[in-house]
Amino acid sequence: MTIYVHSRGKSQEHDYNWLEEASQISVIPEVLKSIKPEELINSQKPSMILARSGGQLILLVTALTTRDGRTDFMRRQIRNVIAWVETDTSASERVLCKIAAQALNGELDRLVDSAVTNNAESQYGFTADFTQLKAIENTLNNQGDDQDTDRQKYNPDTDLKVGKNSEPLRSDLAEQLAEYGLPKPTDGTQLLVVATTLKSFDGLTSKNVWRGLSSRIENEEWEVYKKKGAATEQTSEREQSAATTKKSPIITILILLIVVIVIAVLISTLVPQNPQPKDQPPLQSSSVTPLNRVKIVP
Amino acid sequence: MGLQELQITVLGATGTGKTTLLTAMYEQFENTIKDVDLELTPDDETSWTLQEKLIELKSCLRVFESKGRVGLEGTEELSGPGTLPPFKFGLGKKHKSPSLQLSFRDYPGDYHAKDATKEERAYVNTILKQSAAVLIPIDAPALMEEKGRYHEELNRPQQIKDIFKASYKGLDSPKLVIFAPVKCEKYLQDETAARELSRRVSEEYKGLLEYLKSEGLRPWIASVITPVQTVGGLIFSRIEPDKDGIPEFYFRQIRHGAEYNPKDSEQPLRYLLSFLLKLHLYQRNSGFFSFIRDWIGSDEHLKQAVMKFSRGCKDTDGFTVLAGKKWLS
Repeated sequence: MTIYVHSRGKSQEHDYNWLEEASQISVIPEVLKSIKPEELINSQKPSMILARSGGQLILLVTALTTRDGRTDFMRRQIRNVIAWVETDTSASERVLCKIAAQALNGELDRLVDSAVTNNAESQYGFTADFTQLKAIENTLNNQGDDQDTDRQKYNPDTDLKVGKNSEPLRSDLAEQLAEYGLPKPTDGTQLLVVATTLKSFDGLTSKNVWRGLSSRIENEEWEVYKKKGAATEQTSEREQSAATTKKSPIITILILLIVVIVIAVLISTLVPQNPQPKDQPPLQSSSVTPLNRVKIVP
Repeated sequence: MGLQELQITVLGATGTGKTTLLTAMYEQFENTIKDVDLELTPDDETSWTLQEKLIELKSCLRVFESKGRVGLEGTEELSGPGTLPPFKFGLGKKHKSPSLQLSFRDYPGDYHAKDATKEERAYVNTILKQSAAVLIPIDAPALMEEKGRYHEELNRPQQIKDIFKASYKGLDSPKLVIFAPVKCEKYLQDETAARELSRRVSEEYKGLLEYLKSEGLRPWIASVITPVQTVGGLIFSRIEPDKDGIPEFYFRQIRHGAEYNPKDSEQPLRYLLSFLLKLHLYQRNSGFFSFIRDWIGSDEHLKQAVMKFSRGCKDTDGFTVLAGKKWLS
């Protein structure tokens, strides 16, 4: 598992930077570019994203608190951000779910804080003890339960749900993650868990998040916004109405298009290229049919 | 068709108060626009984010004296340059759909620091090129105290000048450059002090101002100084070094129980609208300029509202038009 830490040092030159475990240099985790965290969270506030993309699993936890006195040159309290990135396997999923559960329960701040310190001598103004950070996953890896990492044996509820970013729901989600794991991988980027202060109900559900928590959602209970199995079929009433609103311009354009075509057909039929002999029946029948069609368009 | 967008870059080194200035502008605009038929409506997430920042800013007044932090937490972009969404505001007549979008680009101040990557530098140059206006927040205590001893270190005027030089080569359209000293409550107590603040800005940004007045740029640039009291209830008190020798700026409440009360934070917007008003007369048929012409020119009522609002641009007590008066109505 690759660990990335995002933090800063005290001086003005040592602004926020990512530090990668292996190289100990500033590298932005590539997978973040497809997740686009800035569209989901305000990273200055405690937030979390657990996602799959390009065969990788990523857990991003932001705004982890730091000890008193770890401030920048403006005496602003420094925040830590941490990301774990690993090939998406049953084993990595189990570990990341457990770490995510720790984060949701507020148990990660202290562990990360003790491993990241200001260091004016280092290139980025801070250093991270990756051995100590690695210990977080090692401990969880060896911890208790069945050690069974077969994804098939876990059966999480696949309904898509959102709720208030509150302590009870965070705690409930932490239990679900630790016990049942994540839904099975699908193609493309999969936003599994997003805990945010930024997104409204509509903003969060439009991202098809499996479990979304937001400070902007009032509901203290989980709200199913998309039923099992179907990302595309069964949608909640709220979403259906939003979808209808979005579709309505398309429907209007289609109706207009049909009307235009019908009128064009009508005109071309009524005004023939060659004058018709007088004894032919009028074009009533052909002109009525399309008009009737227009009438029955909803 | 989507709304036409006017981009504004907030340009400054880390810690100078870019986000703080934006927050104060947002907070005060509604109060100062009451008598005018104009409305500035933030989009949903801009509104939410700025409200959170406002709470943070107001918390600076919880203690009588605070060290250093009279601004907001530093800005960060986790997945690289340009990924942070801009602060978006719709501008238009009251109770009508907005007809113009103002997008304020904020970014981490270290994108033009010594160790910045090529990509980070290029990003700042690009947004500056694309922006019709630039706001440069200046940490006023660093500029004014101890003969500006900390100005270079904190406000980085040379870096700012270098960015302009890289971005404004071959400029062929009007730009508004706003110098906005912030945390400047102490330096606006009387007219003499305010004039001194304005003089110091002109002196310390002499290199940049000369560049903006150079032959190729002079016809296109309007520049102004608009001091903004971003908190209002706090005033600079002293500088003391911490245990590592790093100077710490102390601010105290103007009086016990002083409240968050920013002043003149709508002035940059007044100048911006004054600039737009003039742009609509600009006879050029490229997309944006023709849009501005249509936007203001076709709606007399809107034109009057913009005119009324921009009439409130201050030009005394530290507020100065440095160049390009012809671009301001």
